[in-house]
Amino acid sequence: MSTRDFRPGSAPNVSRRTLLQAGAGLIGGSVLPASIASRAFAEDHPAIGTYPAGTSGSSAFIGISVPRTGTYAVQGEDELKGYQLAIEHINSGHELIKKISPKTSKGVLGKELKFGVADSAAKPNEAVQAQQRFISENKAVMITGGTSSAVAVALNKLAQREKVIFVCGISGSNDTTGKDCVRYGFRQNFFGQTAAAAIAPVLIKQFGKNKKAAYLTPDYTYGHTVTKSMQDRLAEAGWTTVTNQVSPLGAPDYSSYLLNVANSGADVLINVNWGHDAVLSTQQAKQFGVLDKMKLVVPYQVPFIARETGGLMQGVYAATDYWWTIEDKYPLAKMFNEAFEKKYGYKPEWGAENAYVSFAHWARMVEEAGSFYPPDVIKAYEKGETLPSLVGDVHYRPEDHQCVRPVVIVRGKMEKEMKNKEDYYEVIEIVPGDGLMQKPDAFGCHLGDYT
Amino acid sequence: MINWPNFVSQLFNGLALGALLALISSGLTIIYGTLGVLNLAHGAMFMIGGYAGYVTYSYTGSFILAVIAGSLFVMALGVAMERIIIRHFYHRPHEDQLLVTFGLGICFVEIVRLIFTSQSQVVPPPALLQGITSLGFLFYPTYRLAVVGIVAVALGALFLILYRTRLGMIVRAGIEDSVMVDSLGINVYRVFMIVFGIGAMAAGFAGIINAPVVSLTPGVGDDILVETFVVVVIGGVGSFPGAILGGLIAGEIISITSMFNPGYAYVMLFAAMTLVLVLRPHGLLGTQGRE
Amino acid sequence: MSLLEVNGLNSYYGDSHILFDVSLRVERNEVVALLGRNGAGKSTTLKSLMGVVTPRRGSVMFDGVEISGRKSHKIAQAGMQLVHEERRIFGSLSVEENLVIAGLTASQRWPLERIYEMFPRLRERRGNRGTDLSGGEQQMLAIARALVRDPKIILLDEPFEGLAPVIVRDLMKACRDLAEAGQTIVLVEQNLAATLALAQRIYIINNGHIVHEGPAQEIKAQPEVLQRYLGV
Repeated sequence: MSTRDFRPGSAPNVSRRTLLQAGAGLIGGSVLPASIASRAFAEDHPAIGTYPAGTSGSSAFIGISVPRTGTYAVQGEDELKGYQLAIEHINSGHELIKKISPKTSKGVLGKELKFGVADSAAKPNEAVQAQQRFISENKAVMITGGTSSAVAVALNKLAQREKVIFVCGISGSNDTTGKDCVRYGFRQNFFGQTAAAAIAPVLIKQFGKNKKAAYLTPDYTYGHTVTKSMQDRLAEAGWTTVTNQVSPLGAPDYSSYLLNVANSGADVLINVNWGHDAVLSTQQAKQFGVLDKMKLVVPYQVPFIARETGGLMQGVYAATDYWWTIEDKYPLAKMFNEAFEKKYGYKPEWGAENAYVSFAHWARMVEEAGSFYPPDVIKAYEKGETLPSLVGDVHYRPEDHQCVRPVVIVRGKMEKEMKNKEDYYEVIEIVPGDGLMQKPDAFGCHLGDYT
Repeated sequence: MINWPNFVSQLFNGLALGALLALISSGLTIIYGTLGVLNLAHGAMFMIGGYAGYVTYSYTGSFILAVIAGSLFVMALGVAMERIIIRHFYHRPHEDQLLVTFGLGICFVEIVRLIFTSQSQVVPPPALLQGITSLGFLFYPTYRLAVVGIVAVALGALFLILYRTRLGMIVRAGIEDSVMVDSLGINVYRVFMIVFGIGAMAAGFAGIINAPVVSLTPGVGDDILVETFVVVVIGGVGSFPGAILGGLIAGEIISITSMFNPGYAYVMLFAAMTLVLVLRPHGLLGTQGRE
Repeated sequence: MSLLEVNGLNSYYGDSHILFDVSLRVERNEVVALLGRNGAGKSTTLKSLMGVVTPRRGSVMFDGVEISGRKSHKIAQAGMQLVHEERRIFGSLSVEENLVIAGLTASQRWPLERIYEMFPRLRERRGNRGTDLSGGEQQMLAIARALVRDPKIILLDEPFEGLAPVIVRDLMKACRDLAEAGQTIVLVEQNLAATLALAQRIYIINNGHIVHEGPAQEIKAQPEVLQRYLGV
């Protein structure tokens, strides 16, 4: 067999098959003591989804689908790095993970986490196909993906059908934990409603009441719900929408939309586009002189947009999940930034932050449930207990599985104010999450069944 | 936003969009017309032209050099692609040709992604052409105005090559009946190679000319390919004047529809293509295929 | 040595075997006709010689050089020209462009003036596009386009088919003039009278096999052969 000591006395349930798998795991690299690995089998639960098949060995598999091509590719790569760092930290029992999930020693319930990555290209059908494969072939115990709410909503449905927990990646649509919410899906990051509720007062204070706004909106659930939330909140201060330019995801050119905006007489341009669409539309807005006529606002911050647009975000207000300079206030953020930058050579953006924290939260819930049995894990989330995160204490709402967490309002720094080349934003305000949330049933959420 | 100044602005913008589409499409259509191969890597050629120009620009700081290097690089790439791969597919079924060019396109995009990552790269327009110009009825980016002129010159040059040179005469004959051209003692395979090079160059040239307008990403050619394909179908497969007409029509449809409801711009584009296919199956200026 | 010597030629369209061991020869300055029913393999024979169809087996010696398996443009450069049954005029090119393009790679060529003397109608229509020509004019252009290259041998595939009698008469005269001037011609034609008037020697092909060979005069005296293979 192997040289590892399995201490048979403390591992009564280790079958020959488990031993063989553990042995096979040794060849591949590190493996955890089988004594811990066996714990999950002590539970007496019926099979559901990939349980218990997914944890019968010494490892547990996570299916990751992020866009690595297409308009959201840059953000997807950042997100993926966050996932990889989280998995590395969980498997090694890193100090930061232990701060968020105190019961974690190494792995999750002693299982080493393994993962597969698929390119979703931000397309729902590709993400669903990949995750279906991870579930049936790799017995994934958890799936993740996003960087497009269309993908998130599709994976919500897949998760509920397959009874495999879905920890949502970047998704800004109200629908993800609204009308398309599911029992098996959880979202950590901020979204249209909270973004609007947090940034609207800042905009009203900054630009005044009764302003005319033009919107650039991508044509899918994310764009429509974020624009709607912004319109609703700003209307309270008398703001009107003079034009809403809806464009397809990955539009190659924004000139005709921008001409409409230029001719609309708006005071403020609210750009809801995301990923490369946001970069391109912002650059072209500059080319068409639109940014000289009106103020730009980005209600749902796009990672790396400041770097990619070369100065166009200067003075621009944006709402975001995370900005690295809050590390002065949050020690966990500092730990995360340091670990991330050491491994990848740049400051993490909020895609990586969301990825990391959502995995850490999941690991904590499984540890607290003491089992991978999905209904137990879900119920651990639904306790709604206060959890640490990189932006202070947060909790998940049992009614819609949305994490109640602060929204960070930032403003692009002028070049002369930047202390280093990644110091793009000044943090204006960290708005507590509780006051930003809609009523749990406001967006039509009906969580499905546990089994 | 339906008012007179906006309408005129959109009409003009449609012209600018259409001119670029016309140039890219003319490359696709002469390749298809002559070789009978629909080059699904054409969008990748457009993208590579942009990147080749970007690299040249980074080293030399000269936009003109970037345009020349970008075009020549893509032409050489087109010739190499034809010599090494495409020529083995002339006698294979169309599905095989589609698959091999589609696959090549993916390879090119991923190679570029590997080298340059997905982050967008910026090629600034030449200093002279930066800023905004007032046309009276609208303010328009100066560089985009220049693009209209540059593209018009490029299309004019293509026209002269096609209609005023021996090579052009051979290409036009080859678009109609390449077998007959071969039977008249002209090595049609060498013509294929040249046409592929010129067609690719048209896309590469457009790619670098367009780079300051769009910020480059590896996927920049993907959507263009779809639009280009629509243009070729509308104008008539294998027809150079058809590509120009189709390009302008597509540009105007996108621009004018956007004025009423941007969400329908592409719907209208495809609706127009369907309408053309129903009324004139060979496209507006196309003729019966040679096969 | 014959100008053209074909031995054991086999051609296929996809999987269907069209020509079976076709052998024939054509002497210099000779007019040879290939007769046969529709689908007998006449056009395929001509296309196989020209390299438009690539024969799978057999030899084609042309002016002392093996040309079977070569590309059409090589065969054209060796001095052969095929006038297709469908004429295959470049419709978007002018009449004159059609003639110029044919001569581009020829080692020696007829001056356009000589072409226009032979076909005055083409001179009148030199600026017109190929698609604007009548059927007869297109046929003239197709023949003229082959002649521009001053070919050692010209293969005519049904040159008179579907044309008005008055045009056929003009074209016949042109062919006779060519023959008298020493042009080597292989003719495939349904019009038996015209064929027998032009040709010196006849091959009959049936189901892809050469079944008869002989001087044109001799065939006229053998109505049973014509009856059996041509149904006349």
